[in-house]
Amino acid sequence: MHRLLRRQLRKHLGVEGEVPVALQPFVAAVDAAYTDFDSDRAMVERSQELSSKELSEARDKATQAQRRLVDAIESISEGFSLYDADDKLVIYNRRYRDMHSTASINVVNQGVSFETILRNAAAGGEIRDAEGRVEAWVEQRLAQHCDPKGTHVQRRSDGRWIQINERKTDDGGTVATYTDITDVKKAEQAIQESEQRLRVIAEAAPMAVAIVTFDDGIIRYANRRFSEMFELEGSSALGLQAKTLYADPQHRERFIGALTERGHVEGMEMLLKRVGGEEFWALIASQRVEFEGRPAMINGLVDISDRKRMEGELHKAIWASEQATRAKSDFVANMSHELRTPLNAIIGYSEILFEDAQSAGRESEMADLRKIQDAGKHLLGLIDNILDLSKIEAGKMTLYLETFELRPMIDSVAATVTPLAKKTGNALVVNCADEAGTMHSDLTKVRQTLFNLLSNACKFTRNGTITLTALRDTNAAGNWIEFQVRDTGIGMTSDQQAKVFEAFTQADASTTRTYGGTGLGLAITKSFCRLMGGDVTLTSEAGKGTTFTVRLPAVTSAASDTADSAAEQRSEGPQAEHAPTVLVVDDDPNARELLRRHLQRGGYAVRMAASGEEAMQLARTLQPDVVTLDALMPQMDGWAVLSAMKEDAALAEIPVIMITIVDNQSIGFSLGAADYLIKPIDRDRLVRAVEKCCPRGAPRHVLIVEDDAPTSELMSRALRQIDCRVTQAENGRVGLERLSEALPDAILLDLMMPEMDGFEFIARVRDESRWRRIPIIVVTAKTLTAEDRARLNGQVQHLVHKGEYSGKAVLAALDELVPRHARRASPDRP
Amino acid sequence: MKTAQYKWSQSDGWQPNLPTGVVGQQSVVFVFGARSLMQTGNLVGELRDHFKGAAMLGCSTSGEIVGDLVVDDSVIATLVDFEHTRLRFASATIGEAKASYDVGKELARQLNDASLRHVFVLSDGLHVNGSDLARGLAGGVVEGVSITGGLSGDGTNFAETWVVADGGAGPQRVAAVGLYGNDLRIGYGSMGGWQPFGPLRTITRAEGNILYELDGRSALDLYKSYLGPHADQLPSSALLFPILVTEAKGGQGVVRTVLSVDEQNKSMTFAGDIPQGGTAQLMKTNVDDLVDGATAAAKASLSGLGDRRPDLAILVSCVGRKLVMKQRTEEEIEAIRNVFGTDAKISGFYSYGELSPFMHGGECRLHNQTMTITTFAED
Repeated sequence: MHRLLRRQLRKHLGVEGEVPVALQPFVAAVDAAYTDFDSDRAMVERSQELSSKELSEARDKATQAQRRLVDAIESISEGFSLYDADDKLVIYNRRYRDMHSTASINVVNQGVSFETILRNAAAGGEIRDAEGRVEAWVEQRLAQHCDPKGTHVQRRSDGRWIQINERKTDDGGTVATYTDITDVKKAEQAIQESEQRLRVIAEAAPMAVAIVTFDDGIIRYANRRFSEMFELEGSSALGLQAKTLYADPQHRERFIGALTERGHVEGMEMLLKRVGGEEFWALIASQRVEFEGRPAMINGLVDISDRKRMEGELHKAIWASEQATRAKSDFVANMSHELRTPLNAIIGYSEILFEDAQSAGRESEMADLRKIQDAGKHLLGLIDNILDLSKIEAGKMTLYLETFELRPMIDSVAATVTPLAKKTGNALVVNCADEAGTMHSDLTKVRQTLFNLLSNACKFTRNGTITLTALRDTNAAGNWIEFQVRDTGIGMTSDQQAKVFEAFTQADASTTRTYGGTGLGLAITKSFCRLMGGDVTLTSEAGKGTTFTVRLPAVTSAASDTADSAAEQRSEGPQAEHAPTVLVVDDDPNARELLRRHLQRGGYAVRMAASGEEAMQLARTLQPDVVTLDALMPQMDGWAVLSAMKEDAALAEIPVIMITIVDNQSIGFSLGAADYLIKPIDRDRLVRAVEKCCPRGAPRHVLIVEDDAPTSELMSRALRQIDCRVTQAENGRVGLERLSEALPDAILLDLMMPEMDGFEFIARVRDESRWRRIPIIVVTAKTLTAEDRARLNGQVQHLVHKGEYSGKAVLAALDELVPRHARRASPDRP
Repeated sequence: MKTAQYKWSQSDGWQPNLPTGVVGQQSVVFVFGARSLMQTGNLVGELRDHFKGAAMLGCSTSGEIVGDLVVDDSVIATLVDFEHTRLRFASATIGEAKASYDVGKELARQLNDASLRHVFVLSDGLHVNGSDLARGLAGGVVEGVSITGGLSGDGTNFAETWVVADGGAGPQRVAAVGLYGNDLRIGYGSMGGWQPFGPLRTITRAEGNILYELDGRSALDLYKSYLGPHADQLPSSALLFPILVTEAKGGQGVVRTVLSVDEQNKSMTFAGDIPQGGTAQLMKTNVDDLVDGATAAAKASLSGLGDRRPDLAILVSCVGRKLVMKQRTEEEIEAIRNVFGTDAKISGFYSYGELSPFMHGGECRLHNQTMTITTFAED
């Protein structure tokens, strides 16, 4: 029973212990009510306690959440404000407060109305737009605040731009963020200004400028100069299809192609068209850009019509000048030939007269005749040097490469020079190993080079020593042959050394008077060395002597036209990037393929033609560096192609290598030409040549085919002196007639003759089996061209160059050709 | 409309004695009684025998209301003989709770008619989702038809509830009477008298009428901490703390009481849906508030009757109210009597759920912890 009920029963009813039965249900109900009351109250208390605890926890959480929110609001880079439905400031961050200046910053506090803050700011002059119209502005701003439409920008008096983003909250409040966009605005302004500046520059530029969008090819911007250039009125360039301004669709294609590939084009020349239809040349520079978010190109154009015209004139002038140079070279070459023929007579006859005078012992005549002979030879030397120089100048000097033994060559040169050395009291010392090996180069030019240097040394050294050294220098830089010509002569000052290789220059003007010479020898020597891929240098000390050093590649790789290109090849090596192009012409596919492989392996780019006609066509379009021609082809043969090329101004300068695939039988036929002589005829050489063909002791009959009567006569006399029977013919046709009358033991043949020339004559002789074995000695004043050489292919055993004009020099050269057993002891030989 | 009331108790039997004879065509006997009495004796059979021609509609209770009294362990029969109003009865058996909506629709289909005025429905109190049942019913009848009723009780046992219908009495049943005709006046009112307290909690996990978590914590643990020593009497003691449930989208909150608890899953099953994402707040009350609520419900129920006083009032009050008021439970009946006057016949029961619109003309919904009154009068 509830304690209270028990106490009440005792106190008020005097009931102690057992409750009377009648009262028991009542007392039980009251007891239950008391107990329930306590229980209920306990539960209510616990509920209160629990929910209070929960509420304070919730409050803590809310506080924490609020703190976080405030922190977050405080940490954002924008200003933040929340005004409640009564427009009183509820939440704001420091940035919001700091946006206000001294006039209003102190009123920015919780509970202050928006309008109050606004008025303070406006009246304090913080708002640029409110200046001078505070009331109107406040009214306008309030309206905006009450019904915010998103974002607007406010300009502050301190120059800042504030972007305000205002929105209504669900409970009627207003939340706003304030972003300082001053930097953005400044950048925008800077871009605008920069754009404006660029526009002004573009407008004032002397260059035409246009922007064209890529996808539709429409001009989006064009400056004044652009309109002027294309003769467009006002701003009619805008919206125009750019392609209407190109004169040549291919130019446009090339331009767009380059731009697409590289993103920019610099300095491309294009033919464009003004609206009037006039075509003109322009230089275009272009860059891919974005224009209003679309891919576009900005083009700068300069009208280069004037320059183009001047270029054209310049080309014409250059062409004319080249023509003039060629004409000059041709003239010099022809003149030298013309001069050489009479000289031939002068030297030849003075030689004969000298011998006659010698036999008769007419000493005084001998001295005079010797002077005539010397003067003639000197003149011949001059002419030859001038001819060489003019060829070098015209780039026509070519190399004839062959492989030869060094030692015999050195010996031969030494033998030639020995008399010269003796004449000036010099000793000639030769240092060359017997096993010096071979060299692949232009033998004649190597010899001439050494001869020039040695004779030079003889000239400037009296009673001294001249040393010729040849050695092989194989190192990383390649396989080189080095020749040294050292003398103990007068030497040169450094000034003299600097000029010594220049044409028409001798070390000293007075030298010519003292020592003679043309002053061309060293210039030619230098050119030859370079042409062969090497060089000549010198070291000298005045009064002590001079050393010339010639360095030549042991293997000169390919025929080069000029010293420059030879030098280039040396530096770039055989695998040079721009390989020389060789046009191979052959009707036989196997032969073509074989040549292609050989040439490509040698570092050449190869194009092929199967016929003469095709060769001509390709030669014109390709402008190859070299053409190889098969002599025997159906229809247009190699000779015909060669002639056609030489007649074509555009192709005449291209070196040609004639190639004939000769079978064994043909080689037999072609061996008819036994030797080759150059006018003016050196008697000794002539004799040797004939004696090589027809041994002494037997009756000898020589047929001379020569149109120049004095030459023919001169040769006849010389031959008769050695007991030859001589028959003369003035051209090939007559020569053939004579041949059919009597079979000679040898034929002396001039190449250049009227009616039937030497080449044709040889061909006829070859065709006739009776005549095939008659040795032919070619005699010509003409310097053989590659073509001539090719035509004489296999028929000439040796070429004697005109530089070796001395009779004795020729004899020395003949040593190489004539079998030792056939040699006749000469009193002149040492 | 004629009415008569009979009460059976162990000590007194039927008081007054049941009459013999045929009743009118449009008669119904509302039967409210303890489940044990319905199960063991033949009291329902006796009533059927005595009131031949009348339909039976009733249920087991957590306390019977008769006149101004609240009694337990009795059977109360109220005979209502309508003069003009026509009646039609419908009943169905409940499968699973989720079929409640379909059961509601099925009953509505049986009763629907252009002249249908009101549906009074009694349902099993443990195996039915009252919210679904109300939606199914409301959706199946013509607009303007009002629906009231309640979910049967089982003392504070929450073990098994019975519904009495024409076919007999039994568990897992729903039965309804449709009232037709223009001479009928119906009024209804439903009030609680509970106040929410403590923090507002978010329903973080719930499925249908099963609640798992509030604010991410176990709802059952929360209840246990509030109930203290009363936690032993779960689920009935949970009736002391119903919750006010509001959907996430807002709107009027509804009061929900616990039907059962599942210790294993730490879940609580409520008499109606608990919307996940919505909010829940614990509620408390006291006798005075509950009495005020009952008074307000009575007054509201008069508005549908016009100038008339009710001939009959059926009171469906939540068992939770009785648990709070204990010996003072009858105070809410007395308050209602004061509103209706002495002529009105009053019957009813303490339930596991009440069905009624919130306000006059609204849609029928399931309520908990309310005094829900349906008043009848005939012109």
